[in-house]
Amino acid sequence: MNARRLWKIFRLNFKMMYSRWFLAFIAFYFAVYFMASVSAMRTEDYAPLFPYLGVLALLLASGGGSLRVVKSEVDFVFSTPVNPLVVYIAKTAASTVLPLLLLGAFTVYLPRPDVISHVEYAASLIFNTAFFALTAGASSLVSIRRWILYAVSQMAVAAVTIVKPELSPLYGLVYPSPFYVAYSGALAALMYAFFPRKRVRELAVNAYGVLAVAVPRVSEPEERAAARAQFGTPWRAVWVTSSTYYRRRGEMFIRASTLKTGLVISLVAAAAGYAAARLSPPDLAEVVLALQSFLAFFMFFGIAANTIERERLWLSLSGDADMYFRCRMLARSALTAVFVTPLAAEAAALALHFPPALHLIPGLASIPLVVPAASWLAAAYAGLPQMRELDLLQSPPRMSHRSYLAMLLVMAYYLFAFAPYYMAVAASYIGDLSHLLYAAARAWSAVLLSLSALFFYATTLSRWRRTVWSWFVNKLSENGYV
Amino acid sequence: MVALDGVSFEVSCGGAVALLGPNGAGKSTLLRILAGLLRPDAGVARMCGYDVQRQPREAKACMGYLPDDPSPFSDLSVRENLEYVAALRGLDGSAVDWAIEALGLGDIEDRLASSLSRGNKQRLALALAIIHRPRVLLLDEPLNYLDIPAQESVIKLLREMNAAGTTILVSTHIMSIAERLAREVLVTNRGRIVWRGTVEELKAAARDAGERIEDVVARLMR
Repeated sequence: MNARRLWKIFRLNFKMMYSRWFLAFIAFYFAVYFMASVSAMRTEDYAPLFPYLGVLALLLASGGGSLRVVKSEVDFVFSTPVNPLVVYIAKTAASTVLPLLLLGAFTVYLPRPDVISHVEYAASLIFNTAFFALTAGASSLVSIRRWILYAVSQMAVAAVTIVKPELSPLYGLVYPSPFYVAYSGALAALMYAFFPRKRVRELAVNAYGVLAVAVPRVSEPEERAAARAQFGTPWRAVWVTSSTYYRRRGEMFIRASTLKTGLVISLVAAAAGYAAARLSPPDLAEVVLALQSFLAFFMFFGIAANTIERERLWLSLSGDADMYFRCRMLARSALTAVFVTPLAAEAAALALHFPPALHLIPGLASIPLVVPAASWLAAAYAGLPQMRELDLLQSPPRMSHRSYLAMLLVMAYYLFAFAPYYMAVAASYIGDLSHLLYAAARAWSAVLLSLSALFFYATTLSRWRRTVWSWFVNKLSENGYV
Repeated sequence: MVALDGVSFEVSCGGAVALLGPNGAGKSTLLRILAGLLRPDAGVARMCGYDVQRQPREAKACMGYLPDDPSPFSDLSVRENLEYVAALRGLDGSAVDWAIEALGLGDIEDRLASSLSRGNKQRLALALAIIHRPRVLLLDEPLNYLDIPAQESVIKLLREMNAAGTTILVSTHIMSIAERLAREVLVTNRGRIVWRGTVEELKAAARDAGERIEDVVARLMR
């Protein structure tokens, strides 16, 4: 394949992934960050940078899956004679923009003594970006078991960046050296070597066979239940909302309860968080809890938002649409409350040893009141595509100014919801102001819970909800939902 | 569940065959196998003499496939959709211009696919399927969502392509479409081919029985 063809495939994949406004927003944001960082840098102690880089690595790891196969590709790429691997490498290359900008924005301004260290920095940046992009690309294409392997490899990089930066390939972005160039280069090469070529080739000649059997899908029983229900009873709403059906051997539908699996995951996360916080020194425990709250919040929000992909307007709204959304949101809130409870219990238990942990509870309590409705509204605003035949998204998810604004709002909500915890942590450091900060944290919590309850009332119980969900349905229709 | 069972047929170069059958008869499954998007449990599918599973590149180079309910790339414009598939197939810009002209997409070539009506999306999908002027064209319900003028122009285009040598296999459950696009008919039901013959033979059978052609086909499908 000649370079011109490759460039065109890359360029059009790039265009599918990012809108111009998104790129403009991102460029502006990073330019401001860059200028602020340059002027703020007065020291050569860069150790505080590593937790940030670790969190960035976690964010990049959570982006795995964004390159998954979409219906348009099955329809119009796999039916052409092109080597499908070329298309997926081009897609992966197009997806490097975000990791490149994120990793670069935090490190490009650091002073370096000579040209060689600049070259080493540039090579480390390219290799680390390639590692994250290739891992995300590969994890989009594989089964859930192999996906976990890819996610663990990225999580491991994130963890060592925070705990023991010298062991991380990202260390070379701050302290460039030939060793870290070779280290990050080897990781990128390893990921390239393990890119799931066989899976891609199999998709190209058997997409309907591979995807129809291997992927969990909305079953006819579930669709019938949703159509019949408009739920009838709250329990039926919870049943349908918590149900995922898997097709086994292409024929049998097996119901998996997300209530059970979600509760198990939440219990394990709470136990792990408790153990990690108890085993850590006090100054690290606060970081562990901050990270856990951040991850838990974004997991809740991300998963809750993604469930919109399976909505079928013609089924859901065939009866009483108002009743549908009311029951659906009540059920989602009830399920989320169950999932949040172990984490709240963990915070309460940790508060006996580390008092600021108690102030995580208002943020956690806010999640079931806000996230179920807010996540769907944000997903509709951002334009998340519908899942169609073969459980494939009808088009690639696109990073647009809408998705950027939605992310900023979600981030703002996280900071608002967990501000009491950060105030309490600050109080533990500033003895003189601790009473004032604890009082502020309590007042903030009261405001947070009142506003969360008001949001829940507005979107789920009050008459205003009709306006909200009417907008939502229109938005989904604009996004191509049927 | 067996979707297809013992299906065997051959279409000669330049032929025009309609696959007729009720919903769930296996028409779309058959086209997916021929398009190299689904591997059969047993048997071989050949396209232009190439095994679609063992020689997928050669087979896919000579055919065009229009799926049922197609999804063009929604964040690309009409022209960019065509440029993308042209790049995948190694075609130059003249192929894009020809496809736009052939499907009458000139007025909407700069619009995003996501903003198109269902009918215009279908026309774009057809353009994507024929952009390389394939030797074999597999069409799954090609006239879905099209208004009457668009249906007429698409039928005219497909007939012209067939007259120029393109082999057409069209899946439909509407007899009038089959009549206008094909000379031969394969009637399928429950995964099997239950009747094969020409459109003229079907018409003769209908005349002899004093029935409409749809009634004859419906009886064959039972």
